[in-house]
Amino acid sequence: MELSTERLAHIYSKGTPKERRAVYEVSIDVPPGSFYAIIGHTGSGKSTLIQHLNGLLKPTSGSVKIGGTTIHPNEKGKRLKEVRKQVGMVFQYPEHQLFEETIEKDICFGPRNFDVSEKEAKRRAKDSLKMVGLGEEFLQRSPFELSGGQMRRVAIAGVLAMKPEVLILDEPTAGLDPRGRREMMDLFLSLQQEQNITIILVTHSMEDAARYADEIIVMSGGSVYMEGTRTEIFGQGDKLQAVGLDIPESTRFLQSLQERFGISIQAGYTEDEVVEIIEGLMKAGMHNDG
Amino acid sequence: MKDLIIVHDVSFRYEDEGPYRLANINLTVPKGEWLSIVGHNGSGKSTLAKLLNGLLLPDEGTVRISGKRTDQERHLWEIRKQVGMVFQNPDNQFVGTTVKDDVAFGLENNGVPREEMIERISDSLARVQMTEYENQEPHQLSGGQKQRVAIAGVLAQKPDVIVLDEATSMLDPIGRKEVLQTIRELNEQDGITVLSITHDLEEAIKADRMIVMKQGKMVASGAPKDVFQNTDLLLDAGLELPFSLTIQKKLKEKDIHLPTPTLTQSELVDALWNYQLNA
Repeated sequence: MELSTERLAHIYSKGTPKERRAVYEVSIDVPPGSFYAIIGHTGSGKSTLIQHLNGLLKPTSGSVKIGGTTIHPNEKGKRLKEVRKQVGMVFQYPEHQLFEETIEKDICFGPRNFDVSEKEAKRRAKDSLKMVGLGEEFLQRSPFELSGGQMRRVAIAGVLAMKPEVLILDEPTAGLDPRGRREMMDLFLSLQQEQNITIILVTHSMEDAARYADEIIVMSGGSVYMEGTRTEIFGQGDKLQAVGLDIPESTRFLQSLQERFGISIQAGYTEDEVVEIIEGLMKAGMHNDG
Repeated sequence: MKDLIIVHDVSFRYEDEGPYRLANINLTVPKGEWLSIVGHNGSGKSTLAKLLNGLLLPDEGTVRISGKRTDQERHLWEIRKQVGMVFQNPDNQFVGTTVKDDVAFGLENNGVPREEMIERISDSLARVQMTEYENQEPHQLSGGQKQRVAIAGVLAQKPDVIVLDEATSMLDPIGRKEVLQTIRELNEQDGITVLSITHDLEEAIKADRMIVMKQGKMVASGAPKDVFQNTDLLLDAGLELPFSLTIQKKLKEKDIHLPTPTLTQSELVDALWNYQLNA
């Protein structure tokens, strides 16, 4: 399912003294099955933009195209509901929205709201729990007995149970420890690669954007500031720093290595790439000496 | 330096028969120290933080702030003025209808005179670069902006200790550096003690001291350069290593052995330079 916006603009509290423009004329196009990362300075309009992609916000002007549905500024609520079924949204700290007495009931809540039969909802609960790496034995437990990382997985399972074609993730790893963060990111990658779900990730981690995304959108001051592959984006460190962002640590490290060694070193974006580059460099060095 | 916080043999559990979330913790923090606390989710870091200003009380042992015990109710008011807490999720901490009101809230409660209140609010909002948002409604702010406002609220109280519980987790990289720099200035110039619970090991490296928590116990304590020598202990505690140590460990698997642990990027660059000279 294709997702796009056409000159999308959003103004909060329009016509009041608190009026504030959050997004200006943004046009993006996310192909089906891709992994997109949206990065940007705090308050750059990222969250406002993504809330349009599943119909939580309506554009002040411009339009949003979600599969076969185009949403215009004066859209009626009914069409928005249809869109929300196709585009799942995982908010910051989704575990705060758990409320049922068992995990099964909590995961079934969304599908039941969209008129899925009880039997089908329960089947989906089991399946989506498995997708997030938790076993069936969790179904009858209370979500509130779980650790923070597990609760977050249950909340994500609740979104997956709606069988969305697109998953929007707003800083989904905030507050997890490094291991939990890595596991959570690998989960999203497997959802994209195995279930063919489009992933749109809003993140402050340049490392995650470089490691997982096919395409990166950089927001600044409510507009799209840059868009491209990791090579195109992280090859322009100065431009990123001008809007409060940075390059991944791996990339920066290779730059200092290049300065010290006084030779040209290829760009790299992840730890494994750095190790590979160093290995090549060290072995080449030894070869020259021999 | 004078000991500001003394945690003596503290154990804590949330339910009477439940598992201990903290077991026999002993910790002394001198005035002016920057202490980082690292550990996996559920290791007891946040529980420890909440014990420091009496939000939770120990089941066994005592917590003292400037000599005052947190389990003696007559001291609580004073202790909470002294120990400012900023939590991970700012949504749970807002009370005011505007950013300015929110920062004012704690000051009004403590009876700060109006003139001084106005000055403290504008000063603390300026320090976190949120001045232009002072009349915004908190719910319209982004996660990172809310974290800045929550920090301003604590700065305005002029506490002796600031406890940051993953308080910069939602800031962009440069924003995080700026906020940490602000807190570093308070630490260095005003002698404010900082306890930072963090998953950011690069931040922990810069602390005066760090402690590592694992399943409710303190498994290491010391200067970061010493604690980071023990990579197995850190991995066993559910943590990842800082960038330079990770690279070094992976290079070892490729048969490239660097002689000493490198904590920072520049140390690693130097180590590689020397390695290829000697190869």
